[in-house]
Parts: sequence; C-alpha cells; structure tokens
Amino acid sequence: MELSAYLPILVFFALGLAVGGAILTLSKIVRPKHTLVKDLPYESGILGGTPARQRFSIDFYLTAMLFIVFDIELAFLYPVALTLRDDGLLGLVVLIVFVFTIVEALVYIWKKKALEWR
Amino acid sequence: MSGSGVPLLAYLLVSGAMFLIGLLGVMIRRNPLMVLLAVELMLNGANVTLVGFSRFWDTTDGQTFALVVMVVAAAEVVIGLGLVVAVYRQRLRLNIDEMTRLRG
Amino acid sequence: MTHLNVVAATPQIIVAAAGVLAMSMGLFNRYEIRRYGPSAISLAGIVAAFVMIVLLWGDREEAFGGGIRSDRFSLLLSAIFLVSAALVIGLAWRESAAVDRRGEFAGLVMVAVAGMMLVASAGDLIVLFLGIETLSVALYVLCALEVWRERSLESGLKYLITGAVGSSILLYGFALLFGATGTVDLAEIGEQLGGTSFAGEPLVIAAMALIVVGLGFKASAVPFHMWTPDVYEGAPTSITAFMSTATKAAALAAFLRIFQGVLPDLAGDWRVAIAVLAVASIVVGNVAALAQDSLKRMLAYSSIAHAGYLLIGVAAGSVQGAEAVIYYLIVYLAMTMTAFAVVIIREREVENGEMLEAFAGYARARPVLGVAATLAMLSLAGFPPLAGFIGKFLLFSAAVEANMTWLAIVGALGSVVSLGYYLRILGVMWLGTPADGERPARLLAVPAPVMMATGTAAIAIIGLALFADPMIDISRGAAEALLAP
Repeated sequence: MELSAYLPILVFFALGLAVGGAILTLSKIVRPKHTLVKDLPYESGILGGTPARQRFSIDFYLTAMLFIVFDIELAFLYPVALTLRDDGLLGLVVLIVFVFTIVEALVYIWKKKALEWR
Repeated sequence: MSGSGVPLLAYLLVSGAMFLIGLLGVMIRRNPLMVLLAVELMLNGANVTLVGFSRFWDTTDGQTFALVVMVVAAAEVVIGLGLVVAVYRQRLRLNIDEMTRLRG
Repeated sequence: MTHLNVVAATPQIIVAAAGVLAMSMGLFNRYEIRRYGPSAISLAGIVAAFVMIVLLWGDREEAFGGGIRSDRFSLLLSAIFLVSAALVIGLAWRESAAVDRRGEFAGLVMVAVAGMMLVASAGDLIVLFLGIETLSVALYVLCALEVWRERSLESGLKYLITGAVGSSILLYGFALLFGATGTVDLAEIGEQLGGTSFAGEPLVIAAMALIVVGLGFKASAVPFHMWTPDVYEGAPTSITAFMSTATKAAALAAFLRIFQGVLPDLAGDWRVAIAVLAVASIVVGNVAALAQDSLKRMLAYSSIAHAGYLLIGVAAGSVQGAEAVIYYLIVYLAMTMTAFAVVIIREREVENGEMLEAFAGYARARPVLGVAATLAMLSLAGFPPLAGFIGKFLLFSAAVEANMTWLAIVGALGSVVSLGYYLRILGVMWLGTPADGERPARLLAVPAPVMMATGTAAIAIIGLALFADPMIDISRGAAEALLAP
C-alpha cells in the first residue's frame, strides 16, 4: 500500500485542528473585553456584597453523581416510548427488566445511606 | 444519503475538532476534573461522528450507538467524580503531577 | 427483534444477574448473609453459567437478532473469564478490600465478567463497546475499593483516566468503521470489507489504526502501557491478578474478534502494526521487569511482556495463530494466578509483603507453596516441559508459519531475558536469608478458600501440560469458529 493513501487522513486531522483553532481564536477576538466594572455581577444596580464564587460542600457532588446516572437512564425510556406499541409484549417485558434494574440501583444507594444529607 | 441540511463533511470536521481538542486537553490539563471533561469531549466527538454517519447512511444504528455511548460516558464520569471526591476527602491535592506515591 | 433466542445468551444473563444479586446481598443486616451471601451467589452464578456453556457448546447461535453470538470462541473465552473470577473470589477471601465490602467485591467482579463475556460474544460494534466499557467501569471501582488507602484510590483514578482515553480512541475508530461500511453488524462489516477493494482506503486505515491504539490501551501493550505498573501496584492484589488474566483475555478476544474475525482480508494493513506493538511490548516489558524490587510491579511488567507474546499470535493472522493465543490465554491464567496467589498469601503476613525481600527464604518455610511458585515462574519463563513452553512454542511457530520469523526470534530472545527476573524471584525464595537473621519468616494459617484457589491454579499448570493435546484441539475449534462465516 502506498504512503500517499494516508494523505487524506492527515488532511482530515489538519482540518480538524484548523477548525478547532479557528473556533477558539474567533471566540477570543469576538468575546466581550474584560473590565473591572463589566466583570461585576449584575445585581440590579446594587453593588455586589459577597463574592459569587462560594465554595460549597463537596457532598453536593454525591447528589449530582446520583442524578446523572438516573437522568441518563431515563434517556433510554424516550426512544422506547416511541416504539412501545409496535414492540408489544416483548417491549414491555424488556422495559420492566430495565426499570427493575434501575430500581435495584436506587434501593442500593438508599440502603447505603447515600441519599441522607450529612 | 441526507437529502438536505447539514453535509457530512460538517459533521466530520466538528467531530474531529472536538475529538482533537479533547485529546489535547487530556494531555495538557493536570486537574483530574478537567481531564474528565476533556475525555467527555472526546467521547462526544465520536458521538457526533456516529450521528453524522447515521444520517449519511440513512440508518438508525449510529444513533442507537450514540445513545449507548451517552450512558456509558455518564457512568464513567460518575465514577471519576466519585474517585475524585474520595481522593479529595483523603486531602490529596487535586493535581495529577503531585500523585507521586506511585512513581510512573 | 425477529430472532430473540434468549437461550443463546443465558450465560451472560446469568452472570449479570448474579452480579446484581451479589451486590444486593451486601445490603442485608444479618452478618451471615453479608459475609457469605455475595461469594455464594457469585460462585453459584459461575457454576450455572459454566453448565450453560457446556450445554451450548457447538455451532454458532445468535441471540437478540445477531447482537450476541454464541460460538465455540465466545464460549471458551467465557469459560476462561469465569474460572478467573472463581479463583479471584477464592483468593480474596481474607483480603481487606473484599472483607470490608464483600458485596461490592464479588458483585463487581461478576459485572466485569459479564462485560468480558459480551466482548467475546459481541455480534456488533455496539455490544462490543458496551462490553469493553462494562468491564472497564467495574474494574475502575474494584481498583479503588480500598478507599482508605491513597494508593488504591490513585490506582483507580489513573486507570479511569487512561482507560477512558483508550475507550474514546477505540470508539472513534468504531465510528469511522461504521462510517466506512454503513453498518454496525460485525458480519456485515466483514462482508462489506471483504476482498481487497478496501485495502488502503483512508477511512478504513484510520479506523483500524484507532482501534489498534484503543485496544492496545486495554491490553496494556507498549507504548500504551504506562498506566499498567502503577495501577497494578496500587490495586488490591486479587484485583491485580484478575486484571492481568481476565482483562487481558478480554482485550485479546476483542483483537481476535475484530482483526481476525472481521477484517481478515485486510491483514496486509494491520499485521505489521500489531507486530510492532508485540515487539515493543516484549522488549520493554522484559527489560523493565529486570529492575523491579516489588513482586507486584515485576509481575505487572511481565504481564506487559506477555501481552506482547500474545499479540504475536494475532499478528500471525492465521487460524494457527488464533489457536495459539487461545491456548496460551488458558495457560497464562493458571500460571499468573499461582504467582499472584503467593503474593496475596505473603501480603497478609507481613507489611510490604509484595516486596521481593519479604520472600527471602519463604519457599523453605512453606515448601508446598514454594513448589507451586517455582512451577508458575518456570512456566511463565517458558521452561521446556511446562505448559508455558508449549504455549510459547505454538505462538512462535505460528509466527514462523506466517513468514514472520523475526517476530518469533524477538519472542524467544525476550523469553531468555525474562529468565533473569523469574529466576531471581526463585533464588530469593529458596536460597535467600531473611533480613533479620535466621528467624523464620512470620507465617499465618492460609484460609481454606485461598488454599483451594492456589492449589487449583498450580495443578492446572501441570494439567495443561499433561493434557495439552485435548486443550489445543478445543482451542483450535474456537479459533476456527472465529473465521467461520
């Protein structure tokens, strides 16, 4: 096989890099310039009191993590809802198995006391 | 073939850019959270390719694949976050370069 | 949804269900259920899945409309994964990671095995990717299971980051392969790419390159191995044993399934790339292992070198090569498990039990274990009468047969170098004197499950050499099933 066959791949990756670079540089040029006043959070004319970036408890991560999992699992239910009528009984059985597994996970984190606020 | 709308090349360029930006991010960034974010970008770059090709070939296979990848990516990120939190609780600093207990 | 045929997928379903159940067993309040429930359910699941494998043994059947294939190849590899899991559950009986979280330990091992079985039996790219990710995600957690140990957490996080990068690269390769052919079904991809009309097609070349890199990460082949020593050293030792046997087998299964099973006509394009990975792994793995003082790290580098030996069989690109890979995977399981079992037993007794100096004179104090360790090390090095030699011989002759004699030579030279560190371990174990004079090494009673697992693995090393012919025949059947249309 000739080496020239790899050229399109090279061009492809070069183009990919170029597009990525262009997006980043463009946004750097176009985006609003920073000034002290502009960086202040907008509080309806009142000067901001405390800094907006407060550190908050790391426990929030736990809740966020659990949310992501169940949120994504639900993403599967939408496509199934569209075809459930055509899939008939089989689709229903599959769906029940699927939901049962999620419920099992819920029971697990419940028993592990991950839902309790510490 | 997609009759109208976004051409295949556009999908491929955007996805290639996403993938490469992600790859660069993994190599450059040192904060585990940022690395996780970059990996997510790589996975989603691949997802855009899948969806683009799925339109090109006029099949739903690629979209199904993308849906599965989304779930997988979520699981990965959740475990990554969990580990980062666990490390944080151990009061390790969030910097990969400082993880020198195990020399690489 | 026309051909559901759930029966063909029962082993996978049983294992996944056992994993979920085992994890729930850890939630019960009664001590006995928490203590014995997860292991009992996992072992029951393993036995049941094994029975189903024996019953299903035969020609190809497809489940879920071709998503899962059960043929001799997938069934034999599933059996390897199951045996590995059973041994690991036994070996981890008193390991702290497993004692504290028995439900999670046994459950996640089973989930990982379910993922591996999906890899071996995948009928399309989606199931293949799903399987790889299922096993990876379960292993990330298993590595970090000793949350009170910083090293364990670091190991999990490092594995997660490198593993996720590998997965993304692999996925991009799959996406391009899908783009080139317009289908995710492995058989259809094979048909589309059949003949040589696609040789040199940029999209396919790029896809293959990305897939080689992605799977290289998973099989810890050089130059994608940098995570391996750190992760293997930091993870609980039983999990290290599991990773270096079962995960390696799964990665090699993916290699064989994709390259040998789907893209045999493009062999001219991928053989050299894989051969280069093999050579690099053999050289780097064996040389770096010479300089290690920790037995765990040494075995980690040894597993990198063995990834190289195994890739020789893939690079050969023939039925003979695939047969050699499969047989060597079985042998490798037995000898690596035995080697790690010795580390696990020693780790319970002294602090830093994975360091080489902890083994000074250990074989004299425990002669039976010493003999087992000797068998494992000699077999790993490829000493003539033992199973490791037969496996390596098959691999190298497959390379010679495929006109890649240089690969066989590199492999043989690598084995000679590897003698350096395997014999060093044995020298320390038999002839060394403990640092604090003549005092005998501190010994503890070995729990029965650990003893059984160690014994099984050690006897298997001899058995695989004595009954090499039937095992090779079975491996050949599996290799032929891979190529069957």
